[in-house]
Amino acid sequence: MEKETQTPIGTDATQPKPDRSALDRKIAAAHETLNRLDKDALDQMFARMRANRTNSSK
Amino acid sequence: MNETNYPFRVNPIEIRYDFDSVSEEKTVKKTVIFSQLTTDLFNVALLDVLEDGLLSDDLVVTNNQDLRTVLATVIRIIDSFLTDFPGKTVFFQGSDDRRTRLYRIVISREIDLIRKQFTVEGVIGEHTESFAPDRPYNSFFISKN
Repeated sequence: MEKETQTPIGTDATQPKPDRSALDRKIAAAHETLNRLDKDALDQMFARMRANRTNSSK
Repeated sequence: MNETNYPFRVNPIEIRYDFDSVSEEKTVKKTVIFSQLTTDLFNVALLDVLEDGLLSDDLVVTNNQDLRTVLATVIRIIDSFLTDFPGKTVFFQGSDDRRTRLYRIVISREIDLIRKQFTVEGVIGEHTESFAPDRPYNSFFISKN
């Protein structure tokens, strides 16, 4: 649930409150996406990345 | 070392790169933050830094007429991060549909060049696949070859 934010009197109501919450939201969204991903597909993706690294180092 | 100890936890690693977005009108301090999600996976986020040092909400759109330069800088920073931390993978997604579409367009435009150094994967629904232009990805993974 989104936290309610209060805009202090005299500030621009369209200006969101500056803090770390933007970053925290992005990290939470990333975890949400990762949790939704098919684990086998994710493993295969990391395997492809490892293979490309191995091939490029030869 | 048989003394009782308090339980402790490790904080995820966070690595930050800063740069200035400069135009004739203003200079905007930007930061690119890599936040550890799993052992080898980091989320990357682009944010503005306000004068008091706090991070701005990403819903604020900085219109400094230098979007291409900002994105080119972010790409160079990702390259630097993946060079400094070999074996790691970077994950990112737009904070809204417009930004996600922008990322898709930028990657599609440069994909031939990007593939020479990086593996790029796109996410559709529950699945990932090797990045192909014009596919409706909602998030992305990048690792260095």
